[in-house]
Amino acid sequence: MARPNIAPAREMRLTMRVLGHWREAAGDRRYPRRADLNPARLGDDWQNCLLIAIDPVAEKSSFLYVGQNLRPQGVAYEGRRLSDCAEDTVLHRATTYLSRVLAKRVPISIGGAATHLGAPIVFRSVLLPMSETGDKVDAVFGAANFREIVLTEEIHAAGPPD
Amino acid sequence: MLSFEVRRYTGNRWLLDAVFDDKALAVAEAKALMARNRALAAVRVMAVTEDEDGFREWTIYKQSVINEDEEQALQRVLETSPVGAGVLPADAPRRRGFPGWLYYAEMSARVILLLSAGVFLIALLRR
Repeated sequence: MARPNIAPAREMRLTMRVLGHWREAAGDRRYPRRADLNPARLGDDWQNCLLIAIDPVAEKSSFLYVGQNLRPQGVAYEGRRLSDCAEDTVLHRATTYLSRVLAKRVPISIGGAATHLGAPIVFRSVLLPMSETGDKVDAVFGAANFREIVLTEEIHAAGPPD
Repeated sequence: MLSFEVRRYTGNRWLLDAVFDDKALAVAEAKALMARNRALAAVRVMAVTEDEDGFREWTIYKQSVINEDEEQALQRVLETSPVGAGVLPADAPRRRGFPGWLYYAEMSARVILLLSAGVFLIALLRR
């Protein structure tokens, strides 16, 4: 008996929503093309997305798009190389495992603790391979979000409590 | 480093689908894959770790509508059987709807051939 196609309830996690959009865009193909991405469908999530053009020379890979929420200090990174990205940013952290994605040719999601412009954060990111030909990965779509970790200090009196 | 690989069962083999560093996300994605794709027969999540002895992996989640081990065994038998495609040896796993009459017809022909050869040999020895 065929299983019904169950449409999942709205995914609460950004990276999983973007992964779902990537799968939808790919359809029956292994990878979607850039033109298959639909910013309107992604809505507000688009501002947490990024798109990288992969160059055969890895150091020359560059950003095609960086969402507003990922731009360090509002700086636009479109057209700039990945190596130009400041290291102390969530954008840099979200792209450090690009080589793994290119090697494995599947979506990879990582998260954890990092710093963004000096502030401690926790983040979650996903990188998703794209292809114009259906085989060679020539672009990578991604998304990331983060939140600052608020550090609190407790200063105790030198002596024992009364 | 511990990672969680989502693998889907397609074309009688397991294919890597996605990698996560978070177990809950990997399992959630595996479940979503099965829910989203009615043609998918099975999905599993493997924990993968690398240490000085090499890679180790183990299943932490699995969802299946078929017994993929039997499917793979059947596929191997069909590919390697000297009898030919569509005919199974006696101990091969069976699938519902397989044309059993062909199997029994072939077995009967073998028995008749063996018996005939035996009778012929006996007749030769008696001469």
